[in-house]
Amino acid sequence: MLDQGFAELLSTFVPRARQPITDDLRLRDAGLDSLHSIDLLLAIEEKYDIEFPAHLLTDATFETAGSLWSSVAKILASAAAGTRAVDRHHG
Amino acid sequence: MSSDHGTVAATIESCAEALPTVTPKAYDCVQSNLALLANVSRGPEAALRLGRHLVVVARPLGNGLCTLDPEPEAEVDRCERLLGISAGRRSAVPAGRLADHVVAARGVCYAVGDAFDMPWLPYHGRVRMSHGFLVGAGHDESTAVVVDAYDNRTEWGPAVPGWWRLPWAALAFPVQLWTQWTVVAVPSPRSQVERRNVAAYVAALRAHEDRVRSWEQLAVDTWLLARRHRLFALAHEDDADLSSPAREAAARCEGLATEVFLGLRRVRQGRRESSAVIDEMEQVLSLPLSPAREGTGAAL
Repeated sequence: MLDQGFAELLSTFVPRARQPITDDLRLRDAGLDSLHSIDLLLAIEEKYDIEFPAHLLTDATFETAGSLWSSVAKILASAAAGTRAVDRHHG
Repeated sequence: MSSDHGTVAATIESCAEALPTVTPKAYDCVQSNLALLANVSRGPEAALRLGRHLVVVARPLGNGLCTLDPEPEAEVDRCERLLGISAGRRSAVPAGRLADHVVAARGVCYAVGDAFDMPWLPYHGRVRMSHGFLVGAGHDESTAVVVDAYDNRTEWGPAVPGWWRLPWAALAFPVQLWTQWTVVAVPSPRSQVERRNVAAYVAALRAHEDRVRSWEQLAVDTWLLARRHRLFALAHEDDADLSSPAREAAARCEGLATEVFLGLRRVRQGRRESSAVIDEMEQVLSLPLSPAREGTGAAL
């Protein structure tokens, strides 16, 4: 299930896609080319204050709205786990 | 149309027709149209000869950084030797004089100028860099026909292979012009990997004070490196020793180029840079790619 803010951000990069954007939206078919993928990725990084690791910069990540959100969710979870670990260390 | 020795029989029209013979995204902005000319002159896969040599040589720029991009004139010389085509004459053509030189040459001409001046490219009016193209006179000599096999996706739009009929006034910029092309009998090049000054190149990237400028240079060079490795891999597809490592190196370079493009955008936003990317560049520049034994490899 897509985060609503993520879906809103994504819709600005694929304005011709059917609304509401769902997990199975194929991003390339919706008009997202490789250059715009970089713009989208930077916008996601800014919105969620994260950084995509190199191993996630693949075609599979950008295949569908769901696969992209899944990668974002993983990065957010990993960052949260890291924060908790730091909190425990300092606690 | 092809021959082993003699005057190139190509016309600007036959070059336009042969545009699909140039493998996409394998040649840079100087090589693309020499590759096309070689395919027209020697046969449709002749351009892959360029991929028998992987040349990665860093040269200093005047700003404290180095580049992997050779001087255009030196690269044209190298391409001529490998492709087995040779220009009888090279001229420095001042702005507004191209028509005289092309009409007098009575054949296909290869020109290198500033992409900033070239109306068929997305760099037009935006980016200054050397770029090569083929040019001939139209039937009545009052117009020019430009053929350009270069293909690339840029942040200003795509550069798409094609041909354009243009008024000579649209080409009123200075160029270096190579004319009187001949086919030269040369043996098929043996595989060769040449890397020089790469340690100095990486050290300069790390040390340069202007981090945006440093990453801009890295972006140019990783793009170039990805094309060089892709061509090397294509030219060694049938080489039992090299096909697999060459393909893997090409894939790694392509991934690196994407990472650098993204990294540059992050640095431009004032964000922290990833030192791991420059570490990866250093490793890619020393990937083991042992040349095939003498005399082996497919003859192209």
